[in-house]
Order: sequence, then structure tokens, then C-alpha cells
Amino acid sequence: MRKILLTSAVFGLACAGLLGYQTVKAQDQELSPEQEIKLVQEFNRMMAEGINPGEIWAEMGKEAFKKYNLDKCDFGLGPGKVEGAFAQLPRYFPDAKKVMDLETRIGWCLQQYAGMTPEQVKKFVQQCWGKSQCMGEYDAIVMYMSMASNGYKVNVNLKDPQVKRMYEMGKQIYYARLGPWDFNCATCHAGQSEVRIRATRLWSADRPGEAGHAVATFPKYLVRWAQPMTMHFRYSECIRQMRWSPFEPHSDLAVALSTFLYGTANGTEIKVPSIGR
Amino acid sequence: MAIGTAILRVPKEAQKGQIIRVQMVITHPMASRRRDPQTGQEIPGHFLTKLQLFHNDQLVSEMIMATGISANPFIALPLKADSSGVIKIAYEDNRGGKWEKTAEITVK
Repeated sequence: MRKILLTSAVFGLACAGLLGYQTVKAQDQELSPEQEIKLVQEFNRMMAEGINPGEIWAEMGKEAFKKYNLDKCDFGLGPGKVEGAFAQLPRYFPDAKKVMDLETRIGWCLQQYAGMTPEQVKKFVQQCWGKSQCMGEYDAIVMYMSMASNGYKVNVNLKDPQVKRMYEMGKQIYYARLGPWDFNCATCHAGQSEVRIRATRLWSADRPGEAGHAVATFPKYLVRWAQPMTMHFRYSECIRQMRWSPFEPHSDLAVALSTFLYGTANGTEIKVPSIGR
Repeated sequence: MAIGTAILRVPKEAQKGQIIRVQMVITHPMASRRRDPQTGQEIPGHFLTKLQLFHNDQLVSEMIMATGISANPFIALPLKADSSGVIKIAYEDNRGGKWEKTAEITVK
């Protein structure tokens, strides 16, 4: 009993953000590196079993989904059907005559059914970018839609010529060196050798399974901002760090990148939301 | 979603005497008291101060909180399940907000 209480106390404090507590504890008892790794693994396992704070957004998104008339929107499986819709996106939509990923489709439907102008949609999408503890309705809708596909496997139809064309374009963008710093996505996220930023091991599109693990877990709850990060926000941040020209959400560039990444990730099980530092 | 709402999760069924984990996520900014770096104006803190766990209206455990705990905290507390009934959490913050959330459990 006492042991369980102690573990829970450590767990509670650690989850609450006092990661330093574990360090102090480790110093007192002089744990070996193996024991420390075990402690961290135990922490990660408990974190995976627990409740992700991102689920708050999913509950909020259920209301916002109805508020903005998105139940009229066809996500590829019929109007208003959300279960498993995220798994088969990006795909070609005949009504828009375009290949669209989840977020682009939401933006298109907001224009069609909620009566928003493109400027309003852009403002709606970017309302929480660069902030913290922001309860954005857009993030909530994306989180709700993605969580409805939990357990499904990513299944992008690459036999469709339109999707295939977008996939090839995405591949070119991924490997194109651009900007004053001559960077491309592949500088960090490709190749067989391991690339790190400080202690974080970066995923690579060339190592099998890693692209799937990276993209099938978005949107991700970030503890440092206390809000989730959607895929287009992630593109925007990467492109800003590479010093490319400013990123436009729901642009063709984003759809091409999405098609390449989700196409590469085909067959991975969707597990949303995940948690990051 | 407004400040103070929570997700409370307990196993639906448990064996008698089993130690279960009561898990919760509370929506709260947990902002500490600080000064604005530009203007020097004081920004008052806004954080949870107390969390109580009840099992059938009997106080089981109490957690005193302050700043230094992350926003939207995830907390897991142990509870020995001896009877079916209602599990309730009650929590309050330093601005006088008080909330409650309940969940039900069946013990075989």
C-alpha cells in the first residue's frame, strides 16, 4: 500500500510539471543510469494510460462541429460522417475539384456552410498560433475529427491520379532546398543516420514506420503551451525555422506535404492525441 | 470550454478491496503571480488551491496545490474500493471558484 501511495505521489507530482522532483530523488538514492531510464519509461507508460488533456478539446469540438454546420460537410464518407474520415484523407473531392487534407476540407466547409470569407477562415485558423493556454474552436474541431478515427489505419488512395500527382509534388517540396539558409525538410527528417536536436531524436521519412508514427499522432497536446498543435501549425513552425517565405494555412503547399507524409504513413494506426513537451 | 470543467475517469467495475486509480484532468490556467516585463504592472495569480476526493460522501484524500503545477493538470489518486457508489472530486481556486464532478463505480 505504502509503495503504491509513494508511486502515485511521484506520478502526480511529475505529471503536474515538477519533473525536477524525480531528479532530486535520483540524486538522493544514487540510481544507476539503467534505473533512471526505467523510471522515465514507467513515467511514459503511466502518461500513456492516463487522460490526455487534449481530450478537453475533443469535447469542446463536438459542440463547435454542430455550431458551424459542419455536419452538412462531406469528408469523403458522406455528409456528417466523421468516424474513420480522417484515415482516408487527403483525397480528391469532386465538389471542390481539388485534393484536400482534413484541415483544408474544414476550411472549405466553413466557407460553404458557415458563411465565412477566406480572410475570416484564416483568422479563425490562426487564432491560437503563437499563444499559450488558448481554447480555440478550430483546434477543438480538428481534435474532435481526428479522435473520431482512433483505431483506424491510415489509408490514402495513392492510385487516384490526382492524389498521386499531389504526392509527387509533396515529395519535391520535401526535398527542395530553399531559402537563405538552404534548408529542406530532409535536412532533419530524412536519411538513415540519427539526427538529434538537443536530446530529441528526430524521425526520418526514410526509416520505415517512423513517418507513420510521427504524423498519425497529430494533433498533439504540448505541455509547454498548454494547448494542442495541429498539423498546419506544425508546418508553419517548421517553415519559419527553415526561413522559407511565410506559410499560408490551407494552401496547396500544405496539402502536397500532407499527401506525401500521410501517403508515406499508409498502414499506421491512428492514435490521437499524443503528448509532447 | 470554461475554466474549472474536468474529465473524471474511474474503472466502471472493480473487485472488492482492489486499489483503483481515480484519474482526472482539470481545465485551469494555473497562472502564477508575476509582473508584466514591459509595464511593471502586477498580474495576479489564478491557480487551484485545494482538491478533495470523496467516496460516498466520506473524505478519502486531500491535495493542497499552488503555483508550480502545470496548466490543465492531470492528477491520479489511489482509492481502495470497498463499496459501490459515487466518487466525487471537489476543487477550488484562489479566486473563490468552487466546482464538483462525480462518477459512479460498481464493486463486485
